[in-house]
Amino acid sequence: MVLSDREIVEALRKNEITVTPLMNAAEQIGSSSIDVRLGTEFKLIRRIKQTHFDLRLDKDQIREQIRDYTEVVHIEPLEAFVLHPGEFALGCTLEYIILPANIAGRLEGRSTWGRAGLQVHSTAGLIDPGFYGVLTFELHNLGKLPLPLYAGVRIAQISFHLCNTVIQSYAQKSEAKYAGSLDIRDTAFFQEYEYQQIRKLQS
Amino acid sequence: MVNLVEKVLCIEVLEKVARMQRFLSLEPNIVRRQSTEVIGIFFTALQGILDNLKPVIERLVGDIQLDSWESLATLRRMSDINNSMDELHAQLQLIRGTWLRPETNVFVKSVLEFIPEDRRPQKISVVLSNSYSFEESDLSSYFEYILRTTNVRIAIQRETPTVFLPKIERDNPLNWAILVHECGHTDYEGINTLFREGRMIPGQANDYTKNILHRWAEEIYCDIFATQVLGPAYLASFSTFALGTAGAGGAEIASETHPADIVRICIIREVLERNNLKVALMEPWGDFEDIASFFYYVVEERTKLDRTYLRTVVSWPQLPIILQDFVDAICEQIDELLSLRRQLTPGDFSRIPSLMKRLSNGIPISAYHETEVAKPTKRNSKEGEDQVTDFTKLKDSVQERRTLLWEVVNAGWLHKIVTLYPFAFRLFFTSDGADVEEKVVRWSEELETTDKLLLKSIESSEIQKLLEET
Repeated sequence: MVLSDREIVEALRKNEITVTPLMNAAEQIGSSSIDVRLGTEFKLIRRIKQTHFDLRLDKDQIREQIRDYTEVVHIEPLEAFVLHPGEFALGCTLEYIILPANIAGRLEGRSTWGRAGLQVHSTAGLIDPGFYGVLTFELHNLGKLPLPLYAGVRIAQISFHLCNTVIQSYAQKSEAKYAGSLDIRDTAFFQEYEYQQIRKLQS
Repeated sequence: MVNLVEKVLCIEVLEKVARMQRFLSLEPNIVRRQSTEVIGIFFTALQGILDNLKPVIERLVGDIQLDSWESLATLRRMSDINNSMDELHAQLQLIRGTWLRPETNVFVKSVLEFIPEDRRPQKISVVLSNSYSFEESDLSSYFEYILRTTNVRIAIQRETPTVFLPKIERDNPLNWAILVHECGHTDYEGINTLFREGRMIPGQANDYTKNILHRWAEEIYCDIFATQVLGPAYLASFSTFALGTAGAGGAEIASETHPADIVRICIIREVLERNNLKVALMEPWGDFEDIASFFYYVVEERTKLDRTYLRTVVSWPQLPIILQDFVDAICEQIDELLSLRRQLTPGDFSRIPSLMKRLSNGIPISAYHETEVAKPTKRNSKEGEDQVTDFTKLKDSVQERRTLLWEVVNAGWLHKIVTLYPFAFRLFFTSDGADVEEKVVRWSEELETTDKLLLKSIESSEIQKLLEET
């Protein structure tokens, strides 16, 4: 069941859901979602030094490789981050989100920005029950013109889905790589057991 | 708390080590590395400094009360190590291309708003500095001066004032508190007004003393400015800085440009008390009433040891006698000089403990819920329009108000004292067989999380402010 506006407000009032800062509740709370805003940090892909991720390397080396592969950009308030056509960048929400063990979230774009060609996530829009932290945007400009993006702009929305209380919430999972994040975290695929096994078999 | 002063200083020095390690590990596009070998030499030097700290840490493990002589020797040793960190910091000049965080500009911009509009500089430039010191400078005059030494005379119109932030404090908003003092120096008009008032410099002082008092007055003006802007957080930050540099009576030594640190701390504390600006401490610090008394105790205990063993504490003749009148005169005038609507009041501190709890739970504090909450609307209301109106009110009830800069910084300092210090004391001063190096990594992680929480809070609060203004 998707929570309605009234149920979202009730959940916020009871601190079952946290979305902070909630700067303008009247504008942000929609019929069945809360709008979330763009933060000030971005990560861009830098291709100059890397040909590929080398899975044979150990975890620390891959982590270093990924750090070299991305470039962090911080923008000041009122300064634009320009996403050019076809470009991909990671961004994050200005808001910090906490979900209880019986509510999942779904991150979606807003139609205003969708019409301008902005995609806010490529594939990973589900927020598990028990998640806490800032959300990462997988920003992609599908349009033909550059998009100037400003911190604080509402570019996405979260809908909330009631479910039975889960036995193991996101934060309790041993593989929870992004819990408690306060900024953009790089991909941590290399920590997953499959890759560990592949590395082991290849070496 | 056994050996409290020694432990606080030790943790502060370890924080510097952890911060420099983190600075050197910043992503390559932030710190443009000239060569990994240079970075390697820094890391080797830091390891050497840690090796020097290890015997001190071991001495503090187990909570055995040091006698006063041993205490002084331990503190002196840590002062030496702290100085070595400052020397190493100066060599960060070898690493180029470091950029400033946008949050620092947001911070400084918020501070400027405390200077009345007609005297406020439009902007202040913040520059990351190689030397571990916080300073303010009018670069125009400085450039004129250094070129004059080469017999080249130029005249530059006064440009934007510049404040210097040590490189390893780049991500640490808690110590940006000292930048507030430096911003005070840019209120040239306010400082000049202070000097024009005849009451400030006591009539009995000779010219030499008057000259020194003028310089001191500016420093004290800036201390009071920072105290009015930030409250106890400024005292906390200044005290840890003073504790680090104290040694051989250092906190009690005045210079021609600055009054002694302990005198400045007394003045800051007095201003806090006059205005009843207190952030109460909670467990495990039941013996201390508030943040100010905690840090005053730490620095005072440190200086007491010097007084006991040095016997001859350096002081300036005449000055201590007239100091009280001098401070009174400045305090009287500063109320008129600063923008009154911006001054903190005791009631402003009511939210700090709850904000601190949120920080301890890992949640940023850019905004907070107001206590007054609208009553829920009945679901079966027949009047559709009324229901919408009521629902709008209900929505308003979950709206958050933005926290202000001084709330973020004070909550941060409270978090450091109540949560981070006890964590670090347990980590470093409990015998568990783990390497000091591993412990520094854990300490660094805790500090980094707090930095991120505070930076996110400052940034989001500013964005909220801008959106509200429009």
